[in-house]
This record gives sequence, C-alpha cells and structure tokens, in this order.
Amino acid sequence: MITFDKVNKYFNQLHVLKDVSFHIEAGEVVVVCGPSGSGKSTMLRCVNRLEKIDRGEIVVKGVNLNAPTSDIAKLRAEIGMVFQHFNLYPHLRVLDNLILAPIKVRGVSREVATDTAMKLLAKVGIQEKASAYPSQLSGGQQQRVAIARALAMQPKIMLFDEPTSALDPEMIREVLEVMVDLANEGMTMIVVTHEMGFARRVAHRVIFMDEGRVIEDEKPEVFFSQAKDPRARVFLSKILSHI
Amino acid sequence: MSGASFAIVQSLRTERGKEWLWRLGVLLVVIAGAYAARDLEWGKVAASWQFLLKGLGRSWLLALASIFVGAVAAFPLALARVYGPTGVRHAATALIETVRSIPELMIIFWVYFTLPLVIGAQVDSWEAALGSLSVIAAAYLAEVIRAGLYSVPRGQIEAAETTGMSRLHIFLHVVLPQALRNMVPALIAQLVALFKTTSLVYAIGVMEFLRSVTVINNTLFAPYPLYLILALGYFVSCFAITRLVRWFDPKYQLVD
Ligand SMILES: Nc1ncnc2c1ncn2[C@@H]1O[C@H](COP(=O)(O)OP(=O)(O)OP(=O)(O)O)[C@@H](O)[C@H]1O
Ligand SMILES: [Mg+2]
Repeated sequence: MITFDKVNKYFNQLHVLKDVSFHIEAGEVVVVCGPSGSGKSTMLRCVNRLEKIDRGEIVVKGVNLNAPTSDIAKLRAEIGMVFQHFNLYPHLRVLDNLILAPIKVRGVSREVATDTAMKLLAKVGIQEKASAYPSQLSGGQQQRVAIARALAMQPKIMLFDEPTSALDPEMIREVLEVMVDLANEGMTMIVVTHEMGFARRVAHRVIFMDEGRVIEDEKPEVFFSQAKDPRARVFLSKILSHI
Repeated sequence: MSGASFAIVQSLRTERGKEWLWRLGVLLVVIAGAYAARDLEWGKVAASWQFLLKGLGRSWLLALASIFVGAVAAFPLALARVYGPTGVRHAATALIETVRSIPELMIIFWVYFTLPLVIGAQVDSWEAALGSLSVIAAAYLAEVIRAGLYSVPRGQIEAAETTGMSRLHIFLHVVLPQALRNMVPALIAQLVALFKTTSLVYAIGVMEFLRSVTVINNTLFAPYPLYLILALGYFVSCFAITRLVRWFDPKYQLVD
C-alpha cells in the first residue's frame, strides 16, 4: 500500500532522508521512533506529499507521488493525518470541523456529512461537544476531534505525527484508546510516537530512524528485546527508563 | 466598618462593580471638563452649528467613500502580494510600498495639481480628494489584509491540504475567515488613521471638518470653543468607527 524506495530528501544543504526504503501492507500498523531530528516527521509528511522528495520513489495506493500526472488531491483525500498540535480550525465548531472536507471535497450533502460526523464523534467519545469550539475543549478532546475529522473523509491510511506528545499524561490514554480501536479495526496506520506501550500492543512493525536513515525495521517483540543496532538500544534504554 | 459600607466595598471588587466605578470616573471627568469650558464664547459660535455639522458630514463621506473604494482595491492588491506569481507580486509590492512611503499630503497634491497635466483634464478638489484618499486607503488596507493572511498558522493550511481540499476552498473556508478575525485590531487602527487623514484635503480647499472649523474661526475668532468642537468631532467619530468594527467582529476564541 505504501512503498518508499531509496527516498532522499534535502532541506537546502541538510540531508534529512537518506535512502529510506520500506514497504507497508494494507492493514499494517507501523510505529516509527527515533531521536529528535532523525527525520520521522519529514518521512511521514512525504507520504501525502506535504514534503517533496529529491531522489527515489514513493508509491501510495498504486499512485507514484513524483509523477507530475498524479492526482495528489485525490490521494490526500484518502490519507488522514493527525498532528501533534491538533490543527483544528479554531473558527469552526467541532461538527463543522468534521464536515468541511467531506462536503467540499467529496460533495457529500450536509445531512449525510453531519450524520457520519456525529457517528464518528460518538466513536471517539465526544458527541456532546459537537457544537463547541475547539478552544473550549481539553487537549485530549481536541486530539480526538482531530482524529474524527481525519476519519470523516473515510481514509484508507492514517498518519499520526506524535499525536500524544503535546498532551498531559491523563489525556494521553484517551487518545491512545481511540488509536488502538482504529488499529484493531484494520486501519493502515503509520504512527510516529514514543509511546512504546502502544507499539507493543498494536504495532505490527517498529521502524527506528536515526540521522535520516532507517536503522531498524522489526516486529515489536524483536525490536524491544534484541535490537541489533547499538543506536536503537541506546535510544530504547533512554526512553524506557523514562517510563 | 458598618455592614452596609462593607457590602458596597465588596460589590466594587466584582467585575461589574469595577465597570461602574470606571463609568463614574469618566462621567466625573466629562462634568469637570464641561464646567471648565462653561465660560468659553459658546454664544458666538452657536449660530454656525449647521455649517460645522455639514463639514463633519463631508469628512465622514470622504472617509466612507475612500475606505470603500480603497478596500475594494486593497483585496486584489493584498492577494497579488501574497499569492501572485513573481512579476505580479513585485508590482503589487512596489505600488503598496510607494504609496505608503510618500507623505499623504504629497499624494493629495499630485492628484490635484499634477494629474490634470498628465491626463489633460480638469480635476476638481472634491474628485482629487476622493481619488487620493482612496489610493492611500487601498495601500494601507492592503497591508492590513496581508498581515491578516499571514497570521493564519501554516498548520491550518496543512491540515486542510491533507484532506484534499483545493487551494480555493482552503482559502475561502480556512484562511480567509481566520484572517478577517485576526485583522480586526489592525483594521480599527487603520480606519481611525484614515479618518484623520481626511483632514489633509483641507489643503486643496475641500470644506471638510477641519476646514469648516478654520473658516468659522477666521471670521468669528473664537479658537477655544471651536478647537474644542474640532477635537470632540474627531474623537466621537473615531470612537464610533472603533465600536462599529468591533460590533462586526464575531465573538470567538483562538487556540494555538
Ligand atoms: N521546513 C524545514 N526547513 C528546514 N529544515 C527542516 C525543516 N523541517 C525539518 N527540518 C530539519 O530536518 C531534520 C529532520 O526533521 P524532522 O522534523 O523530520 O525530525 P523528527 O524526527 O520529526 O524530530 P522530532 O522528534 O523533534 O519531531 C531536522 O534537522 C530539522 O531541523
Ligand atoms: Mg517530528
């Protein structure tokens, strides 16, 4: 479903992605971790071409992202993305945050979009906040709304960029629960996170990045107990001793 | 302290109490001001009230017309400067920055004295006033709009992009509504400034408020009451503009 083939990306002189290659099947949940600045966000943002690459090839759902003829907007509509800082539209009520794109992009009627949106809000456990503004919600609630907003487009792939790292500990759980449910329903997910409990519970694979390279790409059991690369072991010992 | 006075002191600590205290203060200042001004030569200027009011009306007309024309022109200018292709962007930038860096009076003089030579047609003072004030309003309002557009965080646009929305839809439904709300404080400041700028066309003989007051003063010589009226006229007008814009500003809170 998602294939990276020797992907290279530069920010001016800075080489941020170095020969990144991997393949993700439909229904797979992949957790990406690594030190700060290792290129995790950049890699994730390449999947829906928020960032363009300089060399290599990315194919998502059979669409080559580099090909000038590819309909990127159409592809993006099928890839949901959740950001660290939620990025909800502050001028719109929760419900309107959810129905904007389905109406404008898919041409769904307001009634149908509202119906779907209310079901999704129920699913993430905040249907009672449908008419609130984002600023009236807690961080955890905002992030759940952001997940529901992405799901409202009925995506085939969901991308998460550190969805819980701006949240207080008690709110992290409510967001992770929603993500676990989603994983169990068979959604294809790439999740950049340092929540190793989440990785253990639902990830099929863990990708570890350092300085723009994929260092490890393993099943969680293997990654946690017998990571081959010393950088991965150092990273793990740091992050696990934190918890 | 007795119970009653204690209750009064307590109630003054609340938000409402503070609000009333503030209003009382303003009222006292106004009364003191009126008392101090009671001996000015009001009788002398009273008969001119219609003339002065007409002057103020013309100032409002100039302000509203130039702001309207200016705003209509400012939108494409700002859009060109923010989103336009390189050539268009540079042209819009050059235009805006040129107008903004020239003293307003200079622009008024050019339109009044130089433009007729260029176009070979008569330009009366009223036309010159409207034209020059509109150009000034366009340049300054374009900058207010541009600042508003830039105030929308990049993440908002990215969030919309990831849903596959088109650039036009993103602009209309995500960027513009937030930009309009964010530009309210700067807009108020700019509209107030533009209102005061209308007084400059005094120099080309338009009988707006400042000129009306000056003309009356030249015949009656009663500068104290007249300049007090002048100050009050501009104060009330600018205050009204502030309130008017705020009234259009929908109540909402920002995250991020
Ligand atoms: N828009 C940009 N312009 C220039 N450099 C950038 C840009 N975005 C990221 N970088 C740089 O690219 C490198 C990789 O950044 P990236 O955000 O992908 O790292 P990350 O692994 O997500 O880190 P973190 O855990 O801190 O989020 C960093 O050195 C960063 O400074
Ligand atoms: Mg990151």
